Amino acid sequence: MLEFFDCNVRLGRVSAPPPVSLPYNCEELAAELDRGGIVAALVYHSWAKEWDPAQGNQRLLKEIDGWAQFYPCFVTLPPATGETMPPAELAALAVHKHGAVRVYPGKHEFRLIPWNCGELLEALADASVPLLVERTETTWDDLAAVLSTYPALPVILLETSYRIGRRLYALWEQHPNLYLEANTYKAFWGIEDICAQYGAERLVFGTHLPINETGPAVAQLTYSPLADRQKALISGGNMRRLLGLEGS
Amino acid sequence: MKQNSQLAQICFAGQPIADELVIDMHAHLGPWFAFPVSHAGSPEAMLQQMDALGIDIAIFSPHLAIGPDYQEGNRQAREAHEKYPDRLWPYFTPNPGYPWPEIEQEIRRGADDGILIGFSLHPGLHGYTTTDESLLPLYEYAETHELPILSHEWNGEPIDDLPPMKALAQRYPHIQFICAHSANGWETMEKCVEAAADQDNAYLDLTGSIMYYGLLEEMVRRLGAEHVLFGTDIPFIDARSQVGRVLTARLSDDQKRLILGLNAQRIFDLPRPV
Repeated sequence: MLEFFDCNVRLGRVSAPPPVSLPYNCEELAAELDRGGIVAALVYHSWAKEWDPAQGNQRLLKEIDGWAQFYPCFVTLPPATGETMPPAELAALAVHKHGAVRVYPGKHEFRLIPWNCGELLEALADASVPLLVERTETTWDDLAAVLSTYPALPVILLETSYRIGRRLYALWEQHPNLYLEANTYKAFWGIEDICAQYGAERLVFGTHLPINETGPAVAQLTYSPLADRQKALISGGNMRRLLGLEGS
Repeated sequence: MKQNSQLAQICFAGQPIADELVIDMHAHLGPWFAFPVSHAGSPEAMLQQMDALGIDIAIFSPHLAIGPDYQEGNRQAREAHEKYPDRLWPYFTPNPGYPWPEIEQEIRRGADDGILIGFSLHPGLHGYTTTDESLLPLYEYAETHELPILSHEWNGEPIDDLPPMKALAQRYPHIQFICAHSANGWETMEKCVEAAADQDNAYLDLTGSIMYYGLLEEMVRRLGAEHVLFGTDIPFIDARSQVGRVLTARLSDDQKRLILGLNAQRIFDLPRPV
């Protein structure tokens, strides 16, 4: 059986809930992840995205305390305004907690490029802390600039689409520090084609529970003809390596 | 993991759905201009995925037919069916921008060959609406011959045809109307359910790339599993996530069986592959 590590889970109540009840707290999310056969997850807090990153991150740490299967994903901002933890401190905390950092340049109204986020990006790159960003939160040009300027920074692209292949492959030709959340890339035999060209090391498993179901992401891998070793990397091995959890 | 569903366990084990009838009632064929399609969307690549998942039959309309050349596209469909007659069944895809006599001739050819099982409409791509007068002969033909119609643009931008679908379903009771991509969002689902509610000959198809938490269950709760159809869009997108969504849904296995194939079998009445 594959061991799934979900890189994209949201904790907390949201501004615009759908007309069904969602799992919002750790207990509900843990039950839902268990239902999907997912053993661990990188979690961010809705407060950090939709209200205040600093207090949202504090809330995140408080809520996941005692839940061994949850690792923190801190939402942060460009350092100049001093609204969030200084980049070096944040990077050290992320390393200590086996966590990662997530940014919302679109929603939080900044640019993910060196003049706006240089100190942050440099600190994360120095500490090899993964940076997660949703596809529609930044531009392809900005993403290419970050990958190029900080080749030691692992950047995980989330919430993509089956339509991005021509841009994605072009970036991968130049930037091995780009990683892709596999499931939102629903191109026909898409993950198999990526593995054939670039290897399984560039894909990570993510669901964005509780916005999305977990079953579709699980099925993408359980029904894959990829080798067991490759599927193990995608389902959790790559994410564990990026978070320094190998062997734990 | 805590799931009692036998069909969910099949998904977690990555086993083909061997003991159930699975009909993908919304597939395509071939390459597409906007993004790369693996193996150029060949029938063989489709069948490889269908076999891995346990999909018995795919009912499809070639990308060429929904794009610039419906005639050549329908010929491609015929060729694929002739090569894999028990697995790949074509919709006839008309483009009402061309004269009806030309379309009718193509339809009659399909009927004579015994492969006319339904129509696939793509108003957005072909530049019409489902209420265009040019479609009236097609509706009359479908009503007379009791042929289902799948339309990709009953809902959403730039054409919102849901009210027309409800009116058409009432006007043509012998046509089974299928609304594509009905689960692509909460608002879309609610509009589609409203349009299909209390209409015996209206169905919603699940095809789409975004699979929101709890949406399928809510659709089934409001409309009933008898009016929800499994479709994947292969090779436009991958089929595996859609299979995973249905197999692991918070529904009974009997409801999943209806969605996966029994409802489509009631509509299309196709022979099950040996």
